[in-house]
Amino acid sequence: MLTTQYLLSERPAATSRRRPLLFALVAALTLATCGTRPAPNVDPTRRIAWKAVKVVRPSAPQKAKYIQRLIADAEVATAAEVHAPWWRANDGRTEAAWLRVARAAAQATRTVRAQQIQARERYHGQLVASKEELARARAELREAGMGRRESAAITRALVGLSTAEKLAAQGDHARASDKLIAARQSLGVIHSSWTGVHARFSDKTLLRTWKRWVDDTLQRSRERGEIAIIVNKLQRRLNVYYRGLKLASFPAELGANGLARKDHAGDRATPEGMYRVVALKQGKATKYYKALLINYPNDEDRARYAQGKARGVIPSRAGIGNLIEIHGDGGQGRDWTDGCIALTNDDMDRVFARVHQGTPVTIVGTYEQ
Amino acid sequence: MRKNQVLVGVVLLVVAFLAVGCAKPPQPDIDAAKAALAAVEQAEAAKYAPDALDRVNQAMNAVNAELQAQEAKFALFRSYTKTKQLIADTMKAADEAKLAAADGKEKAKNEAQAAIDGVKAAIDGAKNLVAELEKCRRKPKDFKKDMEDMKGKVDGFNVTDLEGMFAREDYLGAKAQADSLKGQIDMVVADMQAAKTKIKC
Repeated sequence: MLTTQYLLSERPAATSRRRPLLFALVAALTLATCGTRPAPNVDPTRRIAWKAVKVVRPSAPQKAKYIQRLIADAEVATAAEVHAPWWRANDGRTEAAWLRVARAAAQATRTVRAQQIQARERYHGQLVASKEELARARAELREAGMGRRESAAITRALVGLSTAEKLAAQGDHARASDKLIAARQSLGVIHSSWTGVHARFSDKTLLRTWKRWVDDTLQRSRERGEIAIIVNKLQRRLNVYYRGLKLASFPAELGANGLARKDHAGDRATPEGMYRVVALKQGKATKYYKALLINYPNDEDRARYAQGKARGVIPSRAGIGNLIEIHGDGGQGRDWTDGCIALTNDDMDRVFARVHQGTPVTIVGTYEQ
Repeated sequence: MRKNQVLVGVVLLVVAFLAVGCAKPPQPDIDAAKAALAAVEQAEAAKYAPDALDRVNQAMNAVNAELQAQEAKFALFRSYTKTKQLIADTMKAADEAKLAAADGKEKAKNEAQAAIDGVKAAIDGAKNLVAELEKCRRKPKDFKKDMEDMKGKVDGFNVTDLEGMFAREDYLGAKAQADSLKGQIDMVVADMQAAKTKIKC
């Protein structure tokens, strides 16, 4: 009973003495554990970092992932700093983490941008070269000797070029450059065919033969005081001479395979040799305005044809061919005939007026520099 | 009596400590969120839904930050209610991103397929036109060269490259190339139509 009384009388007094201390302890504990400090302002860095991720990701996904990982670490560090109790606070950890993010983002962006600039410059360099090669290929394709294979090559090149432009517009200059390289390879097919066709024009034996034919023709023109026609296939010119002097020169179009020497019917090549006009055609006699029929094949052509047949280089069913003319309806700006020489109708009128049966027509690969 | 009171106090303290101190990070949920993020990356979200992927990453970062915030607290005061909510948000964002990536990929695939089909149809049309022109009785001499040129151009139309790109799942590249090819085919077809009209075929 006494104890009870003691307790009843003493306890409230003791509690009231301890209460402020208890409150202070609880408040301190609450502040220390639950209190948060103001979050450092990392928004600008965060924004820049995510922007960098977007820039870097298409060309360097691994770098983008690395930046993302750093961002995640920095977010954790920020949360830790904001919520950590005072005795575990580690000032500067957030700043250090975001600094790492900013550095990595800046470096990755710089690298990617440098790569993009490099790829763009490489693309533009390739594009200029490709367009020049395309223009050359178009010109070469119009020439004799270029056929189906070369047309297919230019189509592939055009598709490649157009795809490259599309990819470049999407910002993918690296792949666009690859497409341009492939397009240039296709254009190379045309140039290599063209070079092959033209190789014979630097053959010294052939050049000597052609020169001899031309000299003989001019000599005869001088001696007999007559008109002579000399066709320069490489230059695509038909030159008219009188007494060995050049009177006129006209642009000429050849067979679709005109730069090659004619070996047989259907090869669409323009013959080379010393011929004569055997017939003058006009009106209903020709489909091509006016025409001068020449005596192809001559003896040399026949001999070569027989030799080619014997060696098996000429198809067994192929004839030697005939009806090689100088005719009108030209002016198409390309080699298109089956082996004839085409002039514009105006030029044909001028030539037609000066020639007669027996006029020498000498066709050579080339003879002028 | 005093002993009893102390005992009750201790028991209450232990119960309270157990009740509050048992708040542990929701590890299975966190693992699920991480797995969801991995699945989003696996679904090529970086290529087909980059914005959605960024949203998932940001949500996951918020989860990690919240976990860290709780970790920093005195054990008795930790609560993972908000973390669970953030995880739920992450899972939702991951589902959306996965769906967006799948949709984006499917859309790119369908577009590429449609473009390739268009090219194939156009090539067939061009080949038919070549056949028609070849059958044509009225063929002037100068048309032979054109014909050869057109045949060559049609030969150059090739879908092997496109199909290869499609098989490698390079749908965006395949679409770009198919569009270019279609443009070229249309030009050649227009030339052939003009030639057909010119020779009155």
